[in-house]
Amino acid sequence: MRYPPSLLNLIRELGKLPGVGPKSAQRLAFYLQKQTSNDIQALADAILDAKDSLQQCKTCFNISEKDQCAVCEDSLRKQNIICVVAEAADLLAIERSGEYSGLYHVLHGNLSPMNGIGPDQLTIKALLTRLDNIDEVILATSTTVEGEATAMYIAKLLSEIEINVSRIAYGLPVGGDLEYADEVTLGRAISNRRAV
Amino acid sequence: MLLSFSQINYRNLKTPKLDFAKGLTAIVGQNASGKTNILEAIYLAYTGEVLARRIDNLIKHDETEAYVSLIIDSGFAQQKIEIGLSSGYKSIRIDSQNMRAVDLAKEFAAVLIRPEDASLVHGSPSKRRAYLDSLLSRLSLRYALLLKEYNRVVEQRNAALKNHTDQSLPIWTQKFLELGSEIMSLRERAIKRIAEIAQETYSEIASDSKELSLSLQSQGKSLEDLYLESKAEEQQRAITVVGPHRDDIKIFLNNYGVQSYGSRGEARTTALALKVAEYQLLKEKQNHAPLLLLDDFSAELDINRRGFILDLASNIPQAIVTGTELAPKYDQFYQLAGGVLGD
Ligand SMILES: [Zn+2]
Repeated sequence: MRYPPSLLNLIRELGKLPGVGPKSAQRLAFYLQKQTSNDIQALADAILDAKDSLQQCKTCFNISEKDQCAVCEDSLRKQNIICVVAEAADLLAIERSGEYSGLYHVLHGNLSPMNGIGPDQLTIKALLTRLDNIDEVILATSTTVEGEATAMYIAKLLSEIEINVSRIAYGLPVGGDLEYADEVTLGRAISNRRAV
Repeated sequence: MLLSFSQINYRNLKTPKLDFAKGLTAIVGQNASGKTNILEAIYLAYTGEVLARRIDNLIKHDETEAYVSLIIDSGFAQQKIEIGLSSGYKSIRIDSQNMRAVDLAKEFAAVLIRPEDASLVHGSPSKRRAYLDSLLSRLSLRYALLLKEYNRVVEQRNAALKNHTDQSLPIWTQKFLELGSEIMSLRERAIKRIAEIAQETYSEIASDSKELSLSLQSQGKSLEDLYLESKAEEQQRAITVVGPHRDDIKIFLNNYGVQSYGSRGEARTTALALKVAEYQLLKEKQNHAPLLLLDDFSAELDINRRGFILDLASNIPQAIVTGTELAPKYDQFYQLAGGVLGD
């Protein structure tokens, strides 16, 4: 039997989500079918609401409901250190480790020419305008090929100005993504960062 | 030691399960009876290497998934390797845990010797690179991970070369030189050891007392120099034209290149010597003898090579040998008829 077109469409849309393969998409689609209309409505509303009310912080590009995110608004945080991450999810992972109390900068991706992502597609230029009172920049992109290249690219730009640049010292497996690292490992990685 | 092999929907195999014991197991069958498929499936489970062009080619016609599993006695315990195949996708499990191909190489080793190995010598450079990369990836986890990263960097670098507005090219070049140089030096070290063993094996098989030698095409040059020399061509073609992904193994007998000037017999003996080197190096690394999978020994008509290879197979702890006739010495045998087994 062939799946009805509406079911196929749902599976296709779910399959576009990160980390969702064809099989999980199918499982999710069948699961959603069994839920009440109210539950489905609540899910759809939550997705749309998040999309409408969330924006990027004007300073660090973290996810936020206001112009300034909670981190940038918090004057008790160290104002002279910036931790550079690829995604807002990585920022949250580092926050959970509790080892870091400085500022962040979210790049919204890593360099990946294959996907048309060069330096201009990331928030690198905006990072360079934030460095006036900054003493240290921590590069906390992942250890994938793309994460390493991104860190190298930014380190090179920063080597021309007087600023300490360090790379997060991962005890993470090669190719590891920050988002999935456990809190203890990540906390240790930040405390053990090394200069580049 | 391999104890058993099972499969579901693997190509057109009709044998769901086969048991193995130590010593030499002979599998006899006509051409196209499926004996090569059995060896390739076992090799896949030992190494994670797909020998077909596409994963889908390994799945029985009209089916969407295939499965191969092995039970292996490691001396301390029985371990189960499972390979799941579905469209374009391969999964590996050891004792029900998800694993990568590099994890298989930590514990298991098998060498497959086939009639088409001769193309190692007179085929395209990609065949020789594949030989080197497959062997070194199984010998060194570091090499396997480096190679994966390097290939990714070359892909990214090629994309950056094509897009003139992308300012990240110098970074990709730096990464390319860094990873590529390390791969070249690991290969250079390995090729010396491979050459030693291959040379010994060659003179053991051939009666011509010629000296076999191997070297990398890039030998003696740094990647940096190769890169600088290639800049004009690179600019013109907008791809990375030098590096480990373009290198080759040069094979000489005395002073002439076997690839261009060797006889068919010399090419076949050289290819066999390379496979024996693979066997020896894996054995050294694992501290135990790899499983030898010898496909269609009866296609080998040369009496010296046939004698050598059957000798090898019967003097190691475990070998599986297929042929259209029965191997002269064996410990147990199976008869295949049209993909079906009978004793
Ligand atoms: Zn912010």
